Amino acid sequence: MLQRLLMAISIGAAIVVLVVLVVRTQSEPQTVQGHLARLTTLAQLRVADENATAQVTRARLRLSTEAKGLADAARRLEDAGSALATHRDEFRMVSRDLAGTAAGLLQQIDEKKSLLGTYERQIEQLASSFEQLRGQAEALLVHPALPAGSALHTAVRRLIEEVTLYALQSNPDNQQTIEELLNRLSAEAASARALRGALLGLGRATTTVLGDSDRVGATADRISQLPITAELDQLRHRYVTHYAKAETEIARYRTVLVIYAGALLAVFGFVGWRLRRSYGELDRSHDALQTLNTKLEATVEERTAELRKAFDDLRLQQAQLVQSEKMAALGQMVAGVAHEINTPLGYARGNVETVREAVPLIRELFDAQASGDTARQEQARRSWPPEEGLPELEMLLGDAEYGLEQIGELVRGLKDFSRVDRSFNEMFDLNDGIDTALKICQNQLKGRVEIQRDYAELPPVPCAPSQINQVFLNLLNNAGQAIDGAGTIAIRTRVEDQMAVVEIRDTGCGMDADTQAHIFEPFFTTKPVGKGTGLGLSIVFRIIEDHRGSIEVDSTIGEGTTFRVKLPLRTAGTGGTGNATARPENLQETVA
Amino acid sequence: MSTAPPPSRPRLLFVDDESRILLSLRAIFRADYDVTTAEGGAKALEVLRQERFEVVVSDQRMPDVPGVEVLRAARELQPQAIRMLLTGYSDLNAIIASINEGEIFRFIPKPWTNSELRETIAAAVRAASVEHVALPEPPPGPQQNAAYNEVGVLVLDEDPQTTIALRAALGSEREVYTADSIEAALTLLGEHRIGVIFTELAVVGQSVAPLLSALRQHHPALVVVAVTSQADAGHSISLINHGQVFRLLQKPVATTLLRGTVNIASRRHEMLRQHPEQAQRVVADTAPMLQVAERSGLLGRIRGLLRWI
Repeated sequence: MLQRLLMAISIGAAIVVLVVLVVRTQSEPQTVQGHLARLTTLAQLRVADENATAQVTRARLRLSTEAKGLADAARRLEDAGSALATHRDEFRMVSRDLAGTAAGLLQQIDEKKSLLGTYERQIEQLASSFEQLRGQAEALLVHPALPAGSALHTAVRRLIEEVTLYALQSNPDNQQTIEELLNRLSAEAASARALRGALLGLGRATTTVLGDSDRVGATADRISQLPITAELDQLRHRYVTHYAKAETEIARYRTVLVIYAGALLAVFGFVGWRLRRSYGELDRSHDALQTLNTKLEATVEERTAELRKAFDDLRLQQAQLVQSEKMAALGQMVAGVAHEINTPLGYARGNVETVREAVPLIRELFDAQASGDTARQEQARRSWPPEEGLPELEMLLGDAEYGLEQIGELVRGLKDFSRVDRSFNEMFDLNDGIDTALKICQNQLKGRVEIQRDYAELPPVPCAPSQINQVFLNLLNNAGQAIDGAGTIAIRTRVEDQMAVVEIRDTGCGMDADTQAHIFEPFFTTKPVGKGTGLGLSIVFRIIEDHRGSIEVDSTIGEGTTFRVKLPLRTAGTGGTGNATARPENLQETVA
Repeated sequence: MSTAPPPSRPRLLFVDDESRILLSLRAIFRADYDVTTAEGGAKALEVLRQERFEVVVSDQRMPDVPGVEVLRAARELQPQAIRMLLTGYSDLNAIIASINEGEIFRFIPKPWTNSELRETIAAAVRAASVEHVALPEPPPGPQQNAAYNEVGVLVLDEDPQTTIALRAALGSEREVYTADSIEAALTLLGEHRIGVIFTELAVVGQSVAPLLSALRQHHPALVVVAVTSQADAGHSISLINHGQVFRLLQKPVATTLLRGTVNIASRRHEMLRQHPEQAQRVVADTAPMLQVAERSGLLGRIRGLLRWI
């Protein structure tokens, strides 16, 4: 049980480990496509970012042209940013840290986008203010009051050049030159009234351009200061590192998996080999068993034959024993009955003989009387005096008659007892049965044992009377034998719980508990060897059992024994009446 | 009877618990004998103490006192009287007891025939007419013992155990001769002085009954003790009626009993030798067996035997 539980647990554990390993080796970031897509996104973002930075520089250099490239760059940056955004969850799956970095990057990209917008507007502003300055300057240069070649003209030209340079350069270093030129111009303006307005206007326009340019520069600086590239690199770097780490880990898991799978395979192989071997052994033992079986069958058959023979022998012996017991019982009974018959037969026969012997004497008396010879008459009278002889004859014949009647009665009793001419199942008065049995065994008890009868009115009991008589005879015989010398046998009958109860109590020697426990067993006997087969009470037990009754024994050493026979007043079950008749042969065989 | 019976008429006592038996017997014998009847053993014992009888005939199976008891009492009270058992019940133990303890003359089965019964009673009366001589007292000293010891004992038995037991019981007191056939027994009887025979009922499949009858007839002083492992009622009745065996013992026999039996049998032998007329008291109905003995030539041999008697 425990072994099977352990087996199940270990198999479960092996499967769980296997599943964990497989899941580990199959984790999401490790799909190559996803990895490539993420790398591409990062590369595109980088390209877009660099492009945007380049456009920022370029847009300043092309003040005159429209800032179309800048817008394109912003759009591309936005696209790349949204591409990254779509991968954000994937990054988060790889590492929360990575996802944070990606989020920060996206934020900066957004900022850069908006700065680009601002920058574009500022560039436009700068371009417009620069156009205005150039217009004023061109107008001034061709102003009649300012002759070409004059110092002022040159100064204006120089200012234009310097301002243009300033506007185009991201880090202008000519601010001082411009201020000097502006100061010179304002100084010139004070002297040349005609040009004063134009010069002041130029100065204001210059200042506007310079301011616009500074703003553009500031924005460009802010853009350039955004650490997008660095962060991107960092993200990429960390991602790649992470990926490599994961890759290594997966590789490790894979190795473990391979080893594990190998180990499992080995285990399975071993188990399979063991199974195979077990099967082989099983096959062998099966073969051996079959061989053994065949042999066993032969042996069993042989033994069965022996046993059957022994059983048959035993049955034969038992039958012989039963027969000898029957003969012994019969012999005992015949001896007893012989005495009972011989006594009346003795006097009946003797009397008849005596009477016959008297006949010649009587004849002589008649003859003497007929002859008239008194001497002869006297002689005849002396030999047979009629006044004595006649009553004696009468008495002798009467006794003989009585004796013959006695014999007849006894023979009737025997017939009643054996009941050979009756059916095997009839309604029988148990009290009659007891009396018949008593008559049969009377010679054993007569004078020695006092019989006390306490009979209740018993309804007729369905039974095989000859067998029940046998039971009573057996119990009475035993009781008589248990009594050494004088004693009493008390016979009591009664009805109790739908059972007829017959109690036979003797004042004999009694039995100890050990003897009581065995008395109903076949071949158990307390009589000396050769004086009984020990089948008597076992036959009694069989008969009572066949009648669905019961027999009990109570005994105290030195006080006596009581046998209690109970027989059902009705045969058990509706079909029960056929019980005894159904197997008369069987009963006949086992019963004397 | 109208005429008073002469006082010399033999007196018979019949004992039975069935009065009709007694009436019947009385009817048979009253003409010739002085018949007394006792209904039951107790009454018989009473009568035995008061009157003397020549013959006592008792039933065996009686409620109060069994026949064997009556006969044993009769033997003690009136050793002169001849005892007989008249019974319809062949109880082996009762028969053996009646032989050994009652020393009965005959065993008569019921139902009887009047003529045979008359003959038997007549024989008993004849036997009773011989004055009873008591057995001599056992010899007081070893010197006198020597006279008895001259008488040897013959064992006629195939079973060597009988001889062994007897020798063990007797020591060197007495010669014990062994024969395992009737032929050998006859030879030994011719050669040695033998007073007592211990015999089985049959040797080499041959019944010893004719031999016993012949010996009873021609050498009545020989005392016969039957020792058997297969006693039955019929054999026992035959042994007593036709052979008048002195004792009937059942194997195995205890040493003390063997010794006692040998002693009493030798004393009886001595008595019979000294008082040959006493043999009449133990005369047997030998006729049926003698016919057999005559046919086998046994009788002729036995007549020439025992010259020393």
